[in-house]
Amino acid sequence: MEEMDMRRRTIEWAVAALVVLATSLPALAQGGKIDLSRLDYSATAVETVEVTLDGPLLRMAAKFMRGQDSDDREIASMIETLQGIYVKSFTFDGPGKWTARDLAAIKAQVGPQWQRIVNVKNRDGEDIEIYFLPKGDILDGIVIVAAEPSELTVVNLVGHIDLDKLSRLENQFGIPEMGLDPSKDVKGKK
Amino acid sequence: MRNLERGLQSALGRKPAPSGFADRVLEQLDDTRARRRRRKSLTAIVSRVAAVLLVGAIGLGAWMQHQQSVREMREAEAASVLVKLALHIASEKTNIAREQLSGGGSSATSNRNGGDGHETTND
Repeated sequence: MEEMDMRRRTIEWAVAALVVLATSLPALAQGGKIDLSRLDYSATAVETVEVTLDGPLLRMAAKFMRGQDSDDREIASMIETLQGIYVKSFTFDGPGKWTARDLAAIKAQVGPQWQRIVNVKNRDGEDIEIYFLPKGDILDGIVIVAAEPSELTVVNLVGHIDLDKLSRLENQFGIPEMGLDPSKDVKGKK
Repeated sequence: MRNLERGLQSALGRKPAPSGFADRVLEQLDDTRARRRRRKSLTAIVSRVAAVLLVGAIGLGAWMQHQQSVREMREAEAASVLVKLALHIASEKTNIAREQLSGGGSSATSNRNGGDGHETTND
């Protein structure tokens, strides 16, 4: 009898722990930041880009760019309203190197307060989802999840950002325009 | 009365200095002067050392501050490169999605206006 009581208590505790875990996942995304720490394919990817910029470093970058040319000043004005920039991008030597489960874990963090404003899927298996975190009239965070057969990219911008300004940036930095024409080979990999 | 006068004369009367008294006085005077000179030179040395240390400390502080600002500048420059890289990736993905939405061989759902969204298939 006592043993059954103990077993029941253990099950109750396990259920409670699961409930707490499940409810804490969207909470991680509160404030516009999602946890990308578990997304790691650096051991298997042929190219890994990982950017983590927040707090004083982001302020320092903004201050530095304010003193540069007009392009940099425009970027500085964009990032002044940001609290964090987090990017993880992995390029693989072939398809099937990343798991849908990892992607689902990222998307699970995007809670109900987020709005998915874009979901694009094409025949090449390219899947791009863009989520916004609205706060009044402004956007308080953006999550971009771009999954291709041999590439996985997650971008999380925390804070207010102008999406139109962001779109215009692609032609800057001396980098030629990329990916605007889907009929063209976007990255020379398709 | 006479005894008193005699006593006073004997007590206050001029007496010859003991032998070697003048030499001892002069010697003591020289000692005092030498001590003063030594003290002055010691003070000068201490002042010079203090001045050198002060100038050194100011110089070291300025150099450390310069090194700190150079380090911060390098960190800021590196951070700005990362900012550009991150925003470029975000911009690239946004533009691909935007282009697909405007109709290029894709199935796309846009919910931009906060409504239920619409779906476009261009396969």
